[in-house]
Amino acid sequence: MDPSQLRFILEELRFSAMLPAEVLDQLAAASTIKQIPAGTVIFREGGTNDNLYLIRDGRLALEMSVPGRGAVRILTLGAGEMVGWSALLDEGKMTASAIAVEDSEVVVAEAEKLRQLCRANRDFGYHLMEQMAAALSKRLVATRLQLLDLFAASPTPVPDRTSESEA
Amino acid sequence: MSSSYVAPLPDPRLATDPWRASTVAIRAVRPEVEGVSTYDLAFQDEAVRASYRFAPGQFNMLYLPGAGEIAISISDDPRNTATCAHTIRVAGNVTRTLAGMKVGDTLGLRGPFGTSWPLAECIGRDVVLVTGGIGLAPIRPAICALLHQRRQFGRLNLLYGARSPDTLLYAREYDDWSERGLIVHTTVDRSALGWMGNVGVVTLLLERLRSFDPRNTVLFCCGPEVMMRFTVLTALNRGMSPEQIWISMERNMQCAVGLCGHCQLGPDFICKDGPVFRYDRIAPFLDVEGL
Ligand SMILES: Cc1cc2nc3c(=O)[nH]c(=O)nc-3n(C[C@H](O)[C@H](O)[C@H](O)COP(=O)(O)OP(=O)(O)OC[C@H]3O[C@@H](n4cnc5c(N)ncnc54)[C@H](O)[C@@H]3O)c2cc1C
Repeated sequence: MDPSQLRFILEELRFSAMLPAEVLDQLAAASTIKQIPAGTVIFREGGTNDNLYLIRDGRLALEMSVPGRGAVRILTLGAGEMVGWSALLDEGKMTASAIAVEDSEVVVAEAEKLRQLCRANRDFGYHLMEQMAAALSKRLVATRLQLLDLFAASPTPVPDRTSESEA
Repeated sequence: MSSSYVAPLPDPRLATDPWRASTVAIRAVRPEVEGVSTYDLAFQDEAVRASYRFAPGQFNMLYLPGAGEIAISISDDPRNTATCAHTIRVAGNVTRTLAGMKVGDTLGLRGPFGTSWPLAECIGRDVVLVTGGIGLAPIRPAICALLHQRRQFGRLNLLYGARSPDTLLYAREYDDWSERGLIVHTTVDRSALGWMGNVGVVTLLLERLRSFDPRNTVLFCCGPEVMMRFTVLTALNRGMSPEQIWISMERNMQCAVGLCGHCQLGPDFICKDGPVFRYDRIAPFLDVEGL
């Protein structure tokens, strides 16, 4: 796919929609588009991965292995969302496995190319990392809400502050 | 105006003496998910049954002699006049006592009380219903009303989050709702083997919602307060204004008629000024703890 088509696609994805025009051009030039059939493992927890993925269509799941419980699905991600940030920030050592739950279409950007672009062009780096931080911050808040277990069967009792202070 | 639901009823709160409890018998008990059942209650007095009406979002006070009285939202189709469904989760003393009762047993009912979902505001607009856990119960009558007059509204989306796949409430009804024009999106906080649906909090569904026109959408939200706070934040981030967002506050209450002050929230009483509030009215008080 030629870069102008890719740029058009990136313009419509939530992750990249806010990027300035020249950053979009550079990101498009460093990317390709790929179809991923349902069931495909894109990368494995603990393994390495060289790419950042932006989902255009379909759904991917992140899973972590827990001894005795096998692969636990912790999050599903859909169109406009980013997967594989460790490739960019952490030299590709993956913290979870990513699996296509449905036939999916993703924009694939080679992490090493992005790193080079970030180093060579601080403006590009700033804008890309800003989007990355925003996406990760949303994911962090969502994870906190998940942790709160808001729909647990019995409401968590309000702590007894009197006895706490006495203790 | 063609509808009895979007412009419902004379004020139902004025229809009956709010202090008078009517006797209702349990007609049926439907276990929904672990710890949650739906109780179909039938008025014993034929005249009360014939005159009883409620608007989606309102609640009743259920009185169990010897145990106490609790506020419970009405989860029925407002057109159903034979019985009145309440979906109840076992939380403590009164709800546990109710869970021990059987078909034919009787209890007291006062109501309906409170404000309702603003269905008239939704005519010609898209509606997004965001709910979690048992919060789907007070939304269900609104779903019935919206689907009954489906053509009056734009896109209808239900975004529903539950703890796990086996705790998704009213799952048997989703196909019917979908066929009738409600787009049902579900997600769970904890996945289970074989679950192919979404995993993650319900606010993510709002974040992802496609074909979303923030200026022409009305959002109803009901669930734990933290969930509602983050839902509102997401909705505002996506370009909605506070006047388009309605939430149902279900903090503890006692008298249900704005006298005892138990459920006071700023200048409002949840029981008589709520439980359904427009967000801009309640926003300053949402963080008040410990009511
Ligand atoms: C307007 C309104 C509508 C409601 N609709 C429904 C409904 O449709 N279905 C349903 O199952 N419940 C509903 N509730 C909550 C219900 O009223 C309480 O669960 C019930 O009063 C608990 O009584 P109990 O004696 O069994 O438990 P209690 O012994 O009174 O409480 C047990 C535990 O539940 C907590 N709790 C009690 N009430 C609430 C509350 N309102 N919110 C959060 N935690 C609470 C207490 O802090 C305690 O930890 C509604 C509440 C309101 C105010």
